[in-house]
Amino acid sequence: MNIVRSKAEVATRIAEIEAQLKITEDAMQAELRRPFFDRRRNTCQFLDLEKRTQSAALKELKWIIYE
Amino acid sequence: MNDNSIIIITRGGVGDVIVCTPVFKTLKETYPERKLIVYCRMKSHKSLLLNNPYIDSLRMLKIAAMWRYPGHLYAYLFNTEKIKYYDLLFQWITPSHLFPDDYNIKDLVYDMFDDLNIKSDNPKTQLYFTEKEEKKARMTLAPYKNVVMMHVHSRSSRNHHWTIEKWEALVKSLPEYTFIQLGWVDEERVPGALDWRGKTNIRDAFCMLKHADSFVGIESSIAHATNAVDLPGVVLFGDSGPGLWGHDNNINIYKKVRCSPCYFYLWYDPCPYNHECMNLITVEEVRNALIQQMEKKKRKTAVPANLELAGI
Repeated sequence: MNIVRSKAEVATRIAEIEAQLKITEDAMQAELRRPFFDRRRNTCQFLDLEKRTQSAALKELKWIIYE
Repeated sequence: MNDNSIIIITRGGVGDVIVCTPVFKTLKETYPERKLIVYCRMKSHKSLLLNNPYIDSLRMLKIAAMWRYPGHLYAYLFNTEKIKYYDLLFQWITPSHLFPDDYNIKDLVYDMFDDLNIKSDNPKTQLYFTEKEEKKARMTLAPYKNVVMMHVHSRSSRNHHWTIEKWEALVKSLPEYTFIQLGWVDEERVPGALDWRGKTNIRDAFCMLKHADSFVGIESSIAHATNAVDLPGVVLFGDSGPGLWGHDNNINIYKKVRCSPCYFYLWYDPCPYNHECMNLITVEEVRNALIQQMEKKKRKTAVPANLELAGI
């Protein structure tokens, strides 16, 4: 496991996760633009899971760096 | 009810049944006195398991075919719990099984029989062919040299797929090899490869693997069958990991991107990102791996120099 130690490493990791979160949110928006009954259930569940995990990781990392 | 039998029900696709085959041998060797009965959900499952010496009775799980076994038919219709049976279904694999690199699907099948305490070191998938089938496969492939079997389509997930342009580029980059594309007629065709889609039945296709020189393709039933015939091949993994679904005889190409393996989340839905896991695999990489596997096969089948001199 890649354990980040220095403040700079944490900042880099935050930037990485933020970029990924942006991609996930874009994918979510693309799915939401589809008609309701055309939306893919598994894709929506997957994206929701991704957003939850990334947001949680981001929250923890921000807590490390700012608190 | 007769407790002396072990009843197994096959489910899923063809590949799922192939990875379950090692367990039949272990079960029969561990419990030789017990009758091994296998019920198949589909005809393709039954044809795969034909001639398996470890299965005592191979039956179809259909009402019309079960009238001779009233106890089992009753249990099947009314879902009685009096009969113990083993359901070979991978739909409910827990996420903890997805991530350890050393946990293979064949080990998981053994875990489904946890009350029978069976174990096997490095199990191999097993397919049994008749003399006639072997002869037919040998004759069919005899006119071709450097035969590479190819399968580029998966029915379980579209995220397994590599682009047809890349397959075409691979075929064009190795003109000295004969690429033979296997599969169903509705699968996408690779230009440049011999088109044998829908021209062979499932048993003939697997038997031909035994007499081919190598295999290249995505993770599919044919990739699992290469393990049974010990064919060195190259298998491309994207949304599923080689730790779980791969075999030792193949070179498993896998780019461990952040979101992979996502197979058990997305199923047949397309990748919501840009399908990076498969797009990162280059033609050059697959080409080099295939050449390496062909060399391996040549070394394996080469006649030792001393025997050649003696004319043996």
